[in-house]
Amino acid sequence: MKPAEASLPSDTEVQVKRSFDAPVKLVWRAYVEPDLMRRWCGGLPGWSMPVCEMEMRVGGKYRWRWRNEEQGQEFGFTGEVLEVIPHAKIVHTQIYDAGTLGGCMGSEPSIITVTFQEISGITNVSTTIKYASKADRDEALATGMTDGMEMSYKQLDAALGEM
Amino acid sequence: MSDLVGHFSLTQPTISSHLKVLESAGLISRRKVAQLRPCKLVPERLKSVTDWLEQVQEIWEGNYKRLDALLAELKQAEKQE
Repeated sequence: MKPAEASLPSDTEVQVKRSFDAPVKLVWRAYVEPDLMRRWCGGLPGWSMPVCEMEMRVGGKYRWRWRNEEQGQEFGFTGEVLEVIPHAKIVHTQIYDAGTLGGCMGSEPSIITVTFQEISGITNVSTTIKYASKADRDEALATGMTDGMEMSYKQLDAALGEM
Repeated sequence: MSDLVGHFSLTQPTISSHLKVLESAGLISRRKVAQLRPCKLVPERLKSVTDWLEQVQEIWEGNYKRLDALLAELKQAEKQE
């Protein structure tokens, strides 16, 4: 599959698209079942996901938290589900919980829209993060992603290279 | 500007407003030479935008590679059922 493609559809949004070689019902499960989600979403070397709770219904809450024992660091995301169309769409709010990692991703929650579309066995997933303002988006991209996460993902790349 | 108008099927005011946006974002710089306003790309600024997007892509791709592996496993499990 082609690597993820990121773009900036507007001043307040970031969009990431990727295709997966699997039917939508399996991709959907990987997004909504906590036990499956914690296996791919940010489970980096040194980092575990001790908290991965979600209630996939309108008004349901979720809480994701990652922890690095060695560095004694923690951060997470929380939010509320706004819309669920099975096998097609999830919309939820997201608030960054800086934990001990620090950084900021804006004061207002961002809105995450994930759409799923299956075409002959291939599932296209599009994720749009809409920040409350352009300043929030720029802040999120500058802090959240460059600091802790970038380092972690570099470790992941290295680990994948060894596999 | 007059050079640009010939290249696009856009009106002069439309091009002018696009240039203003690019200039305010720091992606181009403009000078005044008599009646002309020659534009120049500011490559460093463009690079920071593409670096930024590449970084976002890298982060997500790391997760997605793991998701690929998980999906392959789920497909296999489904076949065996």
